[in-house]
Amino acid sequence: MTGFQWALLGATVATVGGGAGSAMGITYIANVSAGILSEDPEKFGGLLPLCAIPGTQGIYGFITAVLVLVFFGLIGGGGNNLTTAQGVQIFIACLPVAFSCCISAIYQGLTSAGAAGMVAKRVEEAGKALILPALVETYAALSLIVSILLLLSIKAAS
Amino acid sequence: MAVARMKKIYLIAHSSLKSHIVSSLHQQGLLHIENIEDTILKNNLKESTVNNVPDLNEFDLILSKINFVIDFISPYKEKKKGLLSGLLKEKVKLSSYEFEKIEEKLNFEHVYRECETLDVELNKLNNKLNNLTNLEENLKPWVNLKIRLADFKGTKYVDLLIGKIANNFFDKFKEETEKDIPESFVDAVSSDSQNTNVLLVYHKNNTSKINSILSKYNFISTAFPNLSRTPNEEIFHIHSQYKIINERKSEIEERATKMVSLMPDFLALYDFFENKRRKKEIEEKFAHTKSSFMVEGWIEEAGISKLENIMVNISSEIEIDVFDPTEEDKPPIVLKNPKIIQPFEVITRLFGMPDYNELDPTPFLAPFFFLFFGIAMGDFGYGLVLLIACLWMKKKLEVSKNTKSFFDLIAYGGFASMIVGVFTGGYFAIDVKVLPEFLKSLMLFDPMKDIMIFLILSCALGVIHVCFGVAIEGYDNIRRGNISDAVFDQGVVLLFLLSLVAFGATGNSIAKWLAIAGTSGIIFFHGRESKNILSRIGGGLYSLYGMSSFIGDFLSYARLMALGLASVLIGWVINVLGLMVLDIPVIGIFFMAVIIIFGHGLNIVINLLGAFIHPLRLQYVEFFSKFYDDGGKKYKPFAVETKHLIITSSEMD
Repeated sequence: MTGFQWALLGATVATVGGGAGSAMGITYIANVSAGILSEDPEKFGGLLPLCAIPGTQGIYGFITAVLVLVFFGLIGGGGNNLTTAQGVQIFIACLPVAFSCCISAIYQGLTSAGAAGMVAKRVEEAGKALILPALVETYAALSLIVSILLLLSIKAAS
Repeated sequence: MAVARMKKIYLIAHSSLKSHIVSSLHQQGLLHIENIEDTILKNNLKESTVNNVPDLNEFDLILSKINFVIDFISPYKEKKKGLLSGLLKEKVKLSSYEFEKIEEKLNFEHVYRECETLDVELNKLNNKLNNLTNLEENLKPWVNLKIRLADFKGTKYVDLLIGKIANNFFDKFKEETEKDIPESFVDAVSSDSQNTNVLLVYHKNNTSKINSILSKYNFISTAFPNLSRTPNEEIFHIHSQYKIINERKSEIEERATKMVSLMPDFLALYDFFENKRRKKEIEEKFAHTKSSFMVEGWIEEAGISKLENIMVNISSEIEIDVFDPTEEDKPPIVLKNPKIIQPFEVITRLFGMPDYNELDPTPFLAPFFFLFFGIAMGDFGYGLVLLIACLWMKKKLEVSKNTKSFFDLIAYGGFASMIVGVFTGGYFAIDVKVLPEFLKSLMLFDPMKDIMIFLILSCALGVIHVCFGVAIEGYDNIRRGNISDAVFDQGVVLLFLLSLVAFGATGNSIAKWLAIAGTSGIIFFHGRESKNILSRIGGGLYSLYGMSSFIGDFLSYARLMALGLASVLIGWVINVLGLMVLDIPVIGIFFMAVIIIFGHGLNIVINLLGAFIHPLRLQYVEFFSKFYDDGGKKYKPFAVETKHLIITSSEMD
């Protein structure tokens, strides 16, 4: 595989990992929320943010992909200059986001579902319910930062 | 500091004054009434019948009736479209004068009876409609049958039967019947994919023979005992009945739709009776003797004289005793902050009220939340949109006070984002290169290019925030007179953290020695509760190991950079996409407008969520854990409370 292809694979893996995880996480919490809403439609305001929380990982994956495209000029056709070694490095740099975001989004969906139960029972505690799933997010954010730093160092070396 | 000082009050008066006193307490909303049973032991108040459960049935009945009316009318209300109305519940505005007079304004029982009658009739009509639909379904297979259904009673010698039989059995059945019983007639009236609908005519002498054949072929007979005309005529008749029923239904619906205009009044009435009920219910918390009653409650220091004035106006024979809170008391909490930081009280309230003797964290967290929100959003344009949207919604929507102060908080966030946007060159994520020179000169750094600077800045803010938290705990210790704790716990930790960070950043040798001093401080002083020197050092070493958690705390602030970068990058991609479609001739500019408007709108919403939750988490998890003790209960004065209304002060008072 050429460096260009490796870089594309990296961008794809990051997007797919984050996106798939977010989709699964949101599916889970949205299903639970739908159940609660069928009983009590007024809780929509408290549940919607919970449903949106596992969506950030998909965005992190997207950001990583965009950074790969921007840093190494893939959009402008600069990708042909990449050596295979550089391409593999870029691919590896995408892996933290691909894995961490995928898994953390799924589990964040599960945590949100638990928090949704809290909103269902005590709607006045909706604020606290938001914090618990946000704790899971830390590791997705850290993986994004690591991926960005890795990409930066590859860019600096090239 | 910013937790209001409270006084405990006992109010004793003659029972004849009870309703008057309760009403005026309810109206003034000065007193947080405690359940007297919880605090005063029964043996202190021998004569009292503390267990006084007021009779609320009367109110519950009325409230359920009002709810019935509201539920009956509300399906006919025109629904407001849009996501916003689903998220926010708008309220009805009413002056306090109108509110007090609402019961007289409405002929409630009359409306209730009308709704009940209509509801009963509507249910009946719907039932009828269901029955007719079922009947029509059953009759449909028999429309080709030209026999009056009344004739199915049979004649002296002949019986008629209709029913269905499985398609694959039909031919055999017909054959067998006609062979075995010559005096019979079998005809297929109609058929569907599974069953054939059969008419059977036979001589009565053959009844037993026929029955055995029928059961052999699983014949399921059908009967319409209450109908007399032919199936076709009956269906025609059903259709005419549909028309009558539907006409009547639409009449009822029309009347219900007319009643929709009464909806706000009924919502007001609900709140009115709910408050009446509360006035009765609160008596449960009083202590009663044969001819007197006693109320226990908390009041803000500033409110005492007002309460005394009001009570003197009612009667001179009301005893009010004021006490300072004792050690065991847990006074309810009122946060007192200057107006400018009041919106940030939302954050404190979400976590939990501080203990009565704790500091109110609101003024400490306000600047940090403001800044963090700004960094996470990080764009002048986005901030401006948020600011305008929040101020507009606050003005336009009739929502509760809490929701309004939430809008204020987000508006602050928008303002912060504008400031940060100026320093990072974020204007709707437009490429920094094309910005005017003037705006470029205001920039401190470009987050897209100087990612490392952004990251370090975020973590540096983390160091400041966390150390500030530790310092607050130190100040709190000094305030309580635990000066040694402040010096040896928080002071040493601050020395350790700050000198270590300074040494890490500059490699300065003074910082190095300070860091060593801090480290030994932790080892020698953090285990000082134990007398044994070895276990004291051991405790200190363990505490030193615990310091590693600060690293995690500092790194946690890197999320600010991730969020800030996310909003800029997504915005940048939206702009790129917008410019791409601009190349399409003629309609390109239209597509670009759509992409830019919807794209940035979406980006604002997504980032609003992140920019709110993550700074919030940094306050709760990283900051509060250093100094804050919650556990106070919220001050909830006995006052007029409304579910559906916003009561404005009346002009007619």
